[in-house]
Amino acid sequence: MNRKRRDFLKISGVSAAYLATTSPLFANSEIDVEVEISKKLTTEDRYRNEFFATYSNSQEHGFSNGCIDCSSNCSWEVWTNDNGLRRKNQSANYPLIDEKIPDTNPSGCAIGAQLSQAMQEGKIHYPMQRIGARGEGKWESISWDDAAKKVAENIFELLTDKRGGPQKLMFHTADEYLGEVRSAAGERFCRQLGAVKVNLSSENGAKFGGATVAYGDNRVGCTYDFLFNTDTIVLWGENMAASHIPDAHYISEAKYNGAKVVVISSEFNASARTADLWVPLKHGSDSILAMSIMNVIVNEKMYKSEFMKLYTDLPLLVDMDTKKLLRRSDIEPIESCEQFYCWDKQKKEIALMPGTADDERRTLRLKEFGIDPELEGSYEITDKNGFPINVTTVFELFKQSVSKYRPEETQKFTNVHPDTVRVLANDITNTKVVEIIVGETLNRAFNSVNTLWNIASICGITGRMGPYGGLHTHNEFLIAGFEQLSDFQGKYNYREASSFISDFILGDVKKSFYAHYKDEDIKRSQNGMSKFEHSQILSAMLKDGKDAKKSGIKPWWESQSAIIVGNSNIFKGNKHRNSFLDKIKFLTYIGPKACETAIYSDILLPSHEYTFDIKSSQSRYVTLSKPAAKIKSLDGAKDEWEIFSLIAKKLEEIANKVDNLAKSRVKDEKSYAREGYHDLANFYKEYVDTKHNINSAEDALHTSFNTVEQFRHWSVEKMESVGGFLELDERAAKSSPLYTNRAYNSFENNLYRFEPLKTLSGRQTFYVDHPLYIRLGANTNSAMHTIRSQDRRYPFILSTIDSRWSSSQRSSKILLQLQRGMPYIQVNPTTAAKKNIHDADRVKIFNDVGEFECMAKLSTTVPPDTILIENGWECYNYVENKSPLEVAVKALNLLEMAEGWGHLKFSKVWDGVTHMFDSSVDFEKVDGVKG
Amino acid sequence: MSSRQLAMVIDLNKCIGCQTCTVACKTEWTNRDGREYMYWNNVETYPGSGYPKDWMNSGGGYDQFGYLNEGVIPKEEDYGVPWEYNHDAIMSSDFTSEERAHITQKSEPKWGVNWDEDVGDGQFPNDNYFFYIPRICNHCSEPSCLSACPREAIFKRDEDGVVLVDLDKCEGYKFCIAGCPYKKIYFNPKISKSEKCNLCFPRIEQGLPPACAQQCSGRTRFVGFLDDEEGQVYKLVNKYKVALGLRDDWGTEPNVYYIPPTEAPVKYDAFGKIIEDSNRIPYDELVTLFGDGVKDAIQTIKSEKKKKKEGEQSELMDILIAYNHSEMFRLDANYYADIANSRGSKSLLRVDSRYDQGKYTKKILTFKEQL
Repeated sequence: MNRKRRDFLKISGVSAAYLATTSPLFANSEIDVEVEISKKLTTEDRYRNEFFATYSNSQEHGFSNGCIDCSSNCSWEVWTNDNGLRRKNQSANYPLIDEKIPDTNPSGCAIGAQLSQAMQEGKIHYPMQRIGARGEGKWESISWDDAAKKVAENIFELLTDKRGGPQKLMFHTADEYLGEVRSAAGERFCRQLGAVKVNLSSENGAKFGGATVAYGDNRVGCTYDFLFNTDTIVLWGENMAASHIPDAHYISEAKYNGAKVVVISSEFNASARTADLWVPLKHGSDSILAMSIMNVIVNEKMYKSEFMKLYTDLPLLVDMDTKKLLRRSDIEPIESCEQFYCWDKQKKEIALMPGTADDERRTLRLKEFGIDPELEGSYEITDKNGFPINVTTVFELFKQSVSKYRPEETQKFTNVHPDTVRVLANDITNTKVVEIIVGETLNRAFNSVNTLWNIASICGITGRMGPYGGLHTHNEFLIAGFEQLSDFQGKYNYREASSFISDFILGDVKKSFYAHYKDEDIKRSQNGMSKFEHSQILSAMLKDGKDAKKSGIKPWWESQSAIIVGNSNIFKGNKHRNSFLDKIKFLTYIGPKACETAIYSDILLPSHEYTFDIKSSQSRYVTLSKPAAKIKSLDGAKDEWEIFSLIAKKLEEIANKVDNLAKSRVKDEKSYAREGYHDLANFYKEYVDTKHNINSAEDALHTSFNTVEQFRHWSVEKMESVGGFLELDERAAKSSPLYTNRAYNSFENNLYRFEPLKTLSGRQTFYVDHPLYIRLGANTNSAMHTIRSQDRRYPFILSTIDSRWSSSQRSSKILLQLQRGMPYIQVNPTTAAKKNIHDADRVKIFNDVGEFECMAKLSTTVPPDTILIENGWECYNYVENKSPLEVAVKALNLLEMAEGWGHLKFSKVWDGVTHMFDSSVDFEKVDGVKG
Repeated sequence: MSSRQLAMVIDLNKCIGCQTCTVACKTEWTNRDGREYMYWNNVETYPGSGYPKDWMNSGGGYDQFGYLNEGVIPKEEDYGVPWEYNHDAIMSSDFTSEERAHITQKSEPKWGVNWDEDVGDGQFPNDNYFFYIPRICNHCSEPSCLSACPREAIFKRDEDGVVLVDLDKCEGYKFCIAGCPYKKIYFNPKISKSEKCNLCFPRIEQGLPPACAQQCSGRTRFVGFLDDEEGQVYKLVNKYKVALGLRDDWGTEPNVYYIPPTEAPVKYDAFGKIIEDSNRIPYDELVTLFGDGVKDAIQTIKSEKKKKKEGEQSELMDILIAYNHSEMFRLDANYYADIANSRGSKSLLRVDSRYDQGKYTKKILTFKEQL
């Protein structure tokens, strides 16, 4: 018994007295309750003391921003005592923006709330070096100095070898998950070396490529409070009750406020259960449903012509023979240029449209130029050589395409009754404000570009922009100044590689892709293109993209070393991993805990899960992460800035060795190193930046208050005083003003100020005349069937969803205890009965590619032809480390490969997704085993 | 009956089953010291067996004459044995061997607190349905746990009606567990005494709402005194009568009330056509759960929703929308301070003042707010 405690209890004796205790009460030790009772503390005082010991005092509170992998970004008050984190409680201090719209509090879900409990699970305490084979589990703990030196040695060797160079080193910096301050550390390091930067988590579906096709931007939408005053909310492939838990309350509040909520999803999920209308479409048929909705809107002339004329490319003219947009260079003897025409209704001739990519008139305001475009019709004109051309409008071609998707005919593909399609068409067209929220799951499907583009087009023909609603993928505000933490003012640049192509190459996916998918699968999903032609085109593009040889092709590099920051799911199945590890000879993992990447790494550098940071989100708030003053570092972890500056120091030391000095200037192209080389002999000095002297995340945090314009009137103390966040001002606005007292939705600037969109035509896109899009019959909106194999041996769809448990905390005990404790598939009870499978039986799921086993959970929410798996599990949660990725074939869609067409240029907004969630399987009971 | 009664209203239309409340309670109270299997707050999917398993058919409460019903003390496996994991073994496991390691639970999962999550009932896709019921101790006005205890070890605080086990008096007989029809009192094997949800009264006394309520992501919970006529709890329970007790028929007069689930999508017929104005949630189920009052409650909610949709004012919808999160909790700070003073106790330390308002604590607007 702890002597200190006995003394303490002697002193107390007074009821309702709140006394601090210095002895650790929880997690690592136990309350000696018997002693407390025998000392005649009342029951009430016992509970009061427990609360106080958890809460500690307000000086020992810190703030933590949202979880490492979530864009909701909530502000948490972190309760600490001598032993560290005790509890997380939402700060719940966000102000009321508009008294007629609910505030956003408390903002934070179970995943964040339990972080204090899960942080020790599988924690990596010290730097480790692998001493056995990869994955064998044999490690040796080494000092930070030694670990950093080994990483630096590998970097130096790689960069200075005559067959080496910066392209041999690859970084995954987790910039979409960590806050801007923390992720800048890895970005800066990567940039300074001119190394390859790649996002190895493209399969999560955060790219929303179809939205980029439509709007020139993949991050469009609203702050969630905007939903409150909508008339119709459509959650399409988006289960907000599971994927955006902190903001899901706006859906139920909007409903009480009069909104109609429609959920389109193949399973009956937590968002569907309170919807007004749930549309149980067949998995993978979303792009077809979207076309059939537009079929109704077009046939019944419900579309908004005036809006379409101004804000979309639907009036633009297309050469009916070549299918190419009519360009100025077709009519005038000039170099190719991206200016386009409409047919002027009044003047009965072609008119050059303002606001297009190469047009000097930066406005969509047609009245200014007396242009009144026709939406329909075909016309004969003469080209610059005097030859006749038959032209028609994009709208005519769009209508032709849409006409093929009558709801009566699409029903067999979508399982959606034509009446329901009409209800959807009506709800989206004939109510004042409609917001369509699309989920990442939609974007993971093979035909996602079509799907998202089609849904955006529904918004385009129904006039949805600004206050009238529109498409929501993922809202974004602009915060200038963060880039100064990592950009060197242009002196150095990293090699940005295409994420899905890098994945494809690293995992040697081409082999399995063509082995699994038959000619008919590719023909069905790529508009009749044969497997042979597909492989020819793909191979040529991959070849041209290597080392960014050719511009206008998505680039990738063949690296030999990789530094992975804070992400666990870079491997996509055992085969993919084996190929990856074959190619990457030296793997460094920088993260807080065990995960699949860590298991197979060569060097482990433990980072803090919770440390100084600032993180932006979809809302107008930017949150602070600041450990409480009292929190001790209970282990040997460091933050990313500390880690990279240590490696930088070692690299500089190595470069300055007498034998190395001569090769310490690593030559590179001027686009990656302005002065023609990377200076390893001064690497550390340049890395920490003598002006700002950043050696830690805390330094970087304070620096950001000087570099980020919008933070100038704020400080860490001020953020703490209001509850752990700051509010962005109007400078953060992207495509609409950010009012202090109103919700935000995209595209007001375009709608009211007639500013062109960031697209080739300056307008919402309904036509892409890239040769590949024309070849694939996707030059205007169309639908393609899923690539999923139709092999009758595997009649079930394996649907992968994001559940409320899908997060980097998948293996957390406290959360697993709220589920079934282990992975499971969800099966329809009728289907299960036919296979003699009972709830909690062990089942094997298989196809020609592989197999895995887990528990079966019977649920009425699942379609009979589908089995549901939840995303996010580590391979080692499964028996024999076989996860559902064993049955998944990774695929590339050629529509996402297309490059160099107007705004479809490789960048943050235009890259592809590793599609691996279109599998067909069968399953059976595993006898004699439960669970 | 106590002088005043704190009560909670939970809106089942807003609950998304995210379990944030469960984790909030777990990290506040039950992650330690014999309480690990207890979930003082749990959220179960209905239809389903619930937690503990089949609790609704486990007796307890009072019969129509006011006598205690026989009750069942659930077995350990009915609560589910919380699984432990070998996280620390991950990095040292050999993933190259035949017997490849995986993160295992140390006992076989057979049942758990949320085993039935999203299972539901009905036929996909025509009429399948489910909803969530978050449950805590109801701090009943006539607690049958209190009546059942032969040692009179359970008491109800006069100032706010919170029901607690007196750990000095409790000898671990478990009559209370049999007596509670909600099975919301638990045996702590470490101290051999009963323990239960304490409505987070230490938080309330210091200005913070109960953890489950304040941290609820869906903003489903209102907390306040039943006699606070300006408060939402009073209005929802007594004025609009849309907040109903769960299984009132057991006679314990629960003080946790529920807005019954009215929101569910329309059903489909055998041809896949929408059945207009249909509701998936069977009315009879709601009557079983919430009593006859559910008919009027549903009617009231529907008509007020319609008013709001047509642009008219609706106090009820405004209450349920709950524009201001901090106003959902009316903890009456002055009242608790007066009680402490009248007992000669040291004045309560306050950690928060956002939730102070109540019958005896009027909100003082600052000049800025008055503008």
